[in-house]
Amino acid sequence: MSARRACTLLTLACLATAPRHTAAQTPEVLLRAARHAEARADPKAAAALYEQLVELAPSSRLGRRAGRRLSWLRARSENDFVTLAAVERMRRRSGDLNAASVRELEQALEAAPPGLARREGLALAGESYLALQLPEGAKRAFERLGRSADASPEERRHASTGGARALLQGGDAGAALTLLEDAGLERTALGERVAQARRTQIGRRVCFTWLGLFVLLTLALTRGRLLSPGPWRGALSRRRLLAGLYVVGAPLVIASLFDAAAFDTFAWLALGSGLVLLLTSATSHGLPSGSRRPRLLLAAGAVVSELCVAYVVLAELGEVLSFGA
Amino acid sequence: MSQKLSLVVLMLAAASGCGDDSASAVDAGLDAASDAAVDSARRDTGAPDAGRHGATTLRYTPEGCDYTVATPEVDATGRGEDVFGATEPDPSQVHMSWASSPDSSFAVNWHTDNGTLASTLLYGTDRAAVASADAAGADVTARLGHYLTIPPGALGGGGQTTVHEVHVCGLSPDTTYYYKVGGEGHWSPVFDLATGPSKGSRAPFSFAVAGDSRNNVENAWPISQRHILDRGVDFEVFTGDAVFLGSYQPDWNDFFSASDGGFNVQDLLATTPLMNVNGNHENLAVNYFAQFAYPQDVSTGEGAQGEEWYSFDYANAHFIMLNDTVVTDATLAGDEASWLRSDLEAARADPDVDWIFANHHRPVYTCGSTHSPAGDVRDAWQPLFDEFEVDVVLTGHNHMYHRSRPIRGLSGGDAVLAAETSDHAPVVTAGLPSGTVYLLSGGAGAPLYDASSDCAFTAAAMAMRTYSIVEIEGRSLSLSTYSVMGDALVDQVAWTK
Repeated sequence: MSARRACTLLTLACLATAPRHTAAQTPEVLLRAARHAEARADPKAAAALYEQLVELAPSSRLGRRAGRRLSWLRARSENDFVTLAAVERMRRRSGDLNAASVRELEQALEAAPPGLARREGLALAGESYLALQLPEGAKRAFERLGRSADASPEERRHASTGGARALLQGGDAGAALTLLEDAGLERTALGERVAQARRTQIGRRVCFTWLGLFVLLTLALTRGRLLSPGPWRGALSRRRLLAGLYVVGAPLVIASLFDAAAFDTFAWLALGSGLVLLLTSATSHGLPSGSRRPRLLLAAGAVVSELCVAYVVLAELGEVLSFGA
Repeated sequence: MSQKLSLVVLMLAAASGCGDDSASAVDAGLDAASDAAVDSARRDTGAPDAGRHGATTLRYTPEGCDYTVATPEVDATGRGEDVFGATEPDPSQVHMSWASSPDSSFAVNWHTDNGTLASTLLYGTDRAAVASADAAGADVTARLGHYLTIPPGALGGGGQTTVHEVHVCGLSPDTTYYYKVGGEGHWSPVFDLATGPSKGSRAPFSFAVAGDSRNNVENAWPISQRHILDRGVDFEVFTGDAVFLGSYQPDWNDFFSASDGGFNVQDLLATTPLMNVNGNHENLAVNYFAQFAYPQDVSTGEGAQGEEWYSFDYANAHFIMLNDTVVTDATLAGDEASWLRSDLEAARADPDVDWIFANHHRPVYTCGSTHSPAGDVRDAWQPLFDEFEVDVVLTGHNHMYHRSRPIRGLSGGDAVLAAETSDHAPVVTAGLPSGTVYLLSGGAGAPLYDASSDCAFTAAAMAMRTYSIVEIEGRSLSLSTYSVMGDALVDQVAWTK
């Protein structure tokens, strides 16, 4: 063979075996395509593209990034990525979250085989229901997560705390606290928050009960005279009305100097306190003169009633910083 | 009698509701008080860590690097001692950063017991070679760093603490390296890292943004870091307040070793540089400077070891890291603003720089949350951000998420909105200045604050734990924000220059 022929053959052999880097195969192009696949919730396509990138440039920065992303996808590849695709579609809907889309995810997860994507999907469904203020759905999703045989301790913990938050959102602080205690999580920040909510709920119930009893007390003290207009006419005298207006109105005027949230709180305080004042004043007029003991009892009852009004209003609207803490 | 009593009761009841200055949760009320206490302590002492400093400092030039490392004043420091303690000689809390150019260097810090003085790093491009090496050899290079023994803080928590630091320079861009730290017989696991692309490169890259991890409520800090690891970012920018009390080492130990199941934050921080700024809770404590390695071009107004404010370039982007919790208030508009102007001038004149990001702790724009916008910072720095067309300003301090509409200029103290698209991205027109997006990311673990969208300059706001991912490819930027709990996409915006 001549030297020229040998060189030509060698050149042809080199060309034939050299890797072909077309525009479609650069790391940047593959990364962009993989990111777009993830953005349209097509994890299977994304995984394939990341795999190509890793093979193409394993030691490069982009290859390293692709490797990490590929590991994440593969860990969630059960059901040929179908479950993960459903979860990713949900993850990208947070901007227009609605109950129908969360239920759609829930249904997809019901049919899904066990795996990480399914468990993360249940957690996402639970959090989404909570964001939508649908505690029943949240409770259901977190219960299913907690019952998953392959759930990790952290996932079970999340299921317990999520379930507690759902119960709290639904107004059952007692059950939420029990759930946390069963999971050994009562001493966490959430546990303290739930315990405080429970104390507040109990306090609210006690206060409403007391206010009802106070009304009965006033009827009993006046022997039913409160049901006639006489005592009310006395309570609504001009002097008393002005005094009452000052008592309940002054804080409201001061509150108007603050923001709307504080004004609302003081407005409700004014209303509640005003009603207690009115009832107390009318009862006082309905008592026979010289009845010292009943008047003392009425005064004590009125004080407790005012405290209850304040507690209920602040628990609902304002911040009860130390009550029940 | 009953009416008078009722009046007193009513006033007392009303007063009890006035204990908080916001409608946010109990935690936020206590939280604002804790922030005030930290700030008060700073003002009372006149300087952070007053009286805490040791008497020893060290200056040296790391092998292969073209800069000098200066340690803060500590109880003890040194180099080249292969001494190991009895309790915890193996490295822990390994984390990395940049003290010089990301395309050719990196720095690593780690923690050991007080008896361990060995501060060596082995690295190479062959993982197996690095794993099996006990010293420099074929395919493995050794670098010697220094150790610091930090004095205990005012609370005395944890006593003295020993941390280590090594700097590596002279690397190739866009290359994966492997390294381990420690000393003979006491090595960390092998970690990998990738150097950045060459300065000016328009190759795609991404970074995470997170901040205010202190208190680690709901274990949000390691959960956020696990998500960030899964995203495969090139580095992370942190907006300050990593810990509750900067001089309390146990807080830092928690920060660097937090875990979520099988994931430990070291899994991310040992492989992905974390670039932080000083927050009011770090409070320029010696623990902060001792445990991070950032560029130390000391400028007028900075502490002796620098690192209060610095900048770096990554590919075609310039990052400016500022300190707005200064010892002397005048520094903001004085020395630091002077440095900022010079740095911005150079960045804008640099043809390799397409994007400019600024990062500092206290937000200039925030809506309906516990902390009001930082007027002093706005007055000192926004004119510079406007003049030099900073693209994005990253902040924290309020524990929520807030993205502003593009802003350019102030009118009577109010933001002037710039041209924007329908999803509030800046409109970039050749020859015309575009607006700056102010991003607040403060939800990586601190107790959540309220958020409001009612401000004219607000594009998105939520009282939620979030982290953000910024993707840059050439002259295109996309910002995606995810919830920490659930990893759902909660906000997104993109634009091209």
